[in-house]
Amino acid sequence: MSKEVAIQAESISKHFGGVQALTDVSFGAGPASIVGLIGPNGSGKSTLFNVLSGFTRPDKGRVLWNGEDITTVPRYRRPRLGLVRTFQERMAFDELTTRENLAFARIQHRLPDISNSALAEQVEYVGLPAHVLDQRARDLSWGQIRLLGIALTLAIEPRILLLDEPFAGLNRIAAQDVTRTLRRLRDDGMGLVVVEHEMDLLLPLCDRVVAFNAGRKVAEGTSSEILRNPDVRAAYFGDT
Amino acid sequence: MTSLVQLLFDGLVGGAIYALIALGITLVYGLTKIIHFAVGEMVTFGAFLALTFLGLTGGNYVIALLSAIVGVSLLGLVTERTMFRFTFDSPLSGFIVSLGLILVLQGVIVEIWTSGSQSARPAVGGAIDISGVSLRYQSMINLALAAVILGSFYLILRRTKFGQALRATSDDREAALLMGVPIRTIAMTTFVIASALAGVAGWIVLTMGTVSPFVGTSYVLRGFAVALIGGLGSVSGAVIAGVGLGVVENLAIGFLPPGWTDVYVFALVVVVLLIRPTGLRAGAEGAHL
Amino acid sequence: MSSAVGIAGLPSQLSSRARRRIMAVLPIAVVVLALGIVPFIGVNNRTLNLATTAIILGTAASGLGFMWGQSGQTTIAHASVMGVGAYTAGLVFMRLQVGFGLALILAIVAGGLVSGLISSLSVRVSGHYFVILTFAVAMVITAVERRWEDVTGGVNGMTVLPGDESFLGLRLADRMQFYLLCAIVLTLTLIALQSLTYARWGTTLRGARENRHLAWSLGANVVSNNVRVGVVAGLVAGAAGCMYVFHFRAIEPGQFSVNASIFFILMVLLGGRGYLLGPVLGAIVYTFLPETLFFSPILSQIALGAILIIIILLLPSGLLSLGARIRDHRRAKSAAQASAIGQEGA
Repeated sequence: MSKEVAIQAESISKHFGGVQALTDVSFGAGPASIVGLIGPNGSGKSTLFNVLSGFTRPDKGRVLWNGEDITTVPRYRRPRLGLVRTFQERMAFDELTTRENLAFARIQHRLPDISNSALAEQVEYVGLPAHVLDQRARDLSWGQIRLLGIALTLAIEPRILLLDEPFAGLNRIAAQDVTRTLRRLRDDGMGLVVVEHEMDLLLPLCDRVVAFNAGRKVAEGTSSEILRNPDVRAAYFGDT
Repeated sequence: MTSLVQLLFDGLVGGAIYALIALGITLVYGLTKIIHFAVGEMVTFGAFLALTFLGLTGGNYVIALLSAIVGVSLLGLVTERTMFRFTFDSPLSGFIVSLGLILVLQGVIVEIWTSGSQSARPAVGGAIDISGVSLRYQSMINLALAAVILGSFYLILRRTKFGQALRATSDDREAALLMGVPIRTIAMTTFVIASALAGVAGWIVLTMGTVSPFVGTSYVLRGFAVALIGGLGSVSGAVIAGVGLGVVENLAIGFLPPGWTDVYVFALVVVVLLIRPTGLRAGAEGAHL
Repeated sequence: MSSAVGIAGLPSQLSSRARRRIMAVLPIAVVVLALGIVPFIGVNNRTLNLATTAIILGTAASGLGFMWGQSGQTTIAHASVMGVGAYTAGLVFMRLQVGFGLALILAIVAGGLVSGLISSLSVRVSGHYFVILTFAVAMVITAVERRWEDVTGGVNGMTVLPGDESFLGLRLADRMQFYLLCAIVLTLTLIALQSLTYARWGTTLRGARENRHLAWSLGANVVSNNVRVGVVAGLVAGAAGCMYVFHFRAIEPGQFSVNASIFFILMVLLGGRGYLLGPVLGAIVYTFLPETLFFSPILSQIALGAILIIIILLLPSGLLSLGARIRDHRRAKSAAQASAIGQEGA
């Protein structure tokens, strides 16, 4: 649906006050695929995520968008390029209604108001029922807020979507809804990069998985390859 | 024009006052994230208390100092127990409480004492003269006092269990709670400590010259600037930054056209806050990003 | 026969839009009514003066309420901005002999400039540090007002004599006519602020206030929005400052100090931060309470400080939130009763 687009991170290094969060990490993602980033706490996956979305400046290395260097592009300009991220703790504006939440996204990109039926379509696309439009985000269930968060990003038509732990704290049914929605996005051509701890939810979903440990990439491949990889098992499961 | 050395020496004493105030501010802020603007009024309160006890005891400066410490500490305890403890989870509310306290304390001070300036003789009069530089004895006593107090705090924070608990709670409140640290009690103690320090600062201010009920805000502002430059919870930071500000302030007064002293001083604080030297991190929210 | 909660399930978009319109216009209608009554009921000069004061302070406070309520920026320099407007208006009127209209415009511009400048500093410091910065700036401005005797009259202040000057056909020296002028300014201010709140910009501001990071990541430039809000608050404060100086006719720096800014914070909180009329209500209480209790200025300060503390601890959403609170309380009670009855029946 969209023309070829890709995000690339080249040789990223970053340290925070004495801790080397990332060392010479390279990474890439393209359209119509789901890439998962896994690793224990402090492995650097979240830092890479923040570098890609512009919330952290790398000490070394660059971020490329379709070959163009966007390392210094501020975080609020990246959505306009088509690079959008979600947040784990607060994916939507609690005090605003669903309608207002979606309006927020449109307003930032100078998109006009849309009809009620178009709005209903947007929320249904991600799996939300139309009647949540006039409910405040804080009155929605956890799973619904996640879906709303995804809908928010869709309102500005991202090409690559960065998802920050979308499954955290969800029960099985809500997780299934999110999985369904993410697959749908991928099938319609969007590129997804997902940081996640819930491996059993993430691995079946991904086309490709990148595993991190102590600031470096330790493995990359399909889900089954990753599961069999001894370095990953050691880092994550403590196997030897 | 006063000599450079004179300006430096006087700046040291001013700096000592700021360091004491800043330490209290930074302890409270580091622990609770509450911006306690009323600390300035507590300094004033301490100064006036000392003045009163000076009069009551016929000039006993030691009792005056003790009265300032005890009196302001009590005030700090009362305000913490009746007001600030309820704002533990909402620092913004705590900040607003402190704004209200500024109004209340200032008004009370004027009601009880006066709206004019008051002064007292220094505890130890006279000074020694070293090649044109007049080093007042009182200044040296005050510096020694401040050094002792600040030094003790450094040791307390580094060596004692209480200091450990304080630093742990400032770093990570949840973790400290899980480890069984009595964070509420520590918070209360911090307020009392900050108040005691303010009381000492008030006594020093009194011995250095005049006090008026309205100087509170200028002291607390400089105290905050020092606390921010020096870094949260850092005693050495407060000392270095305090002395730094005191000296620079004095130099500015000495070399710039007179009459606009307070403008320079406050403008300096603005500049300092904007430059944000090491010790500060960008923004006070969203620490994870 | 719809229930109090509304007809669930139906989008009923028309009625919700109509409801929004009514909610937007209602407070303004209330204000216009309340203000308009005054000339027709017999008020003595003293009460009229107080009412005018309340309106002027309410105007300024509304600017702060907009800034705080919509964008979450706290500032302790609001009174200083109003002071800039006051001194500007006084200066150009008395020294440069310009008409009131131009003085008002210049005061508004000055206020907007200063406030915008202060808000732009939030690009370097944010959150708690920004509040401390506004504190420092407020002290700088007050100190400059005290020292710059040639321009501001220093500690002795500035006097303004309106003489025969009129504006829009209203004589400034006439108390009732000046009251009407202030009422007009307040009304226009409220209309402007309400329009901004309900406009698309309002949504952006509220979202950015809710969750800065989410706002950034969705493409909102939070800092530049905050600056614009600061400018708006400054424009309003500047206008109020001009009215202030023509009302009191003598101003001095102490009236625009940090203490005065704290009083503005009190007004906004007392009435309710999230309501258009909250700051106005707060200004009315602030102006009339000491009068009715016959408090001396110092005692008033103590009492108002105590009120600020009580409000933030016990009723942080302000007086106007009482209605919503009682309604929620009643709703919770009846819901509990309904479920109890339901259980009995089952």
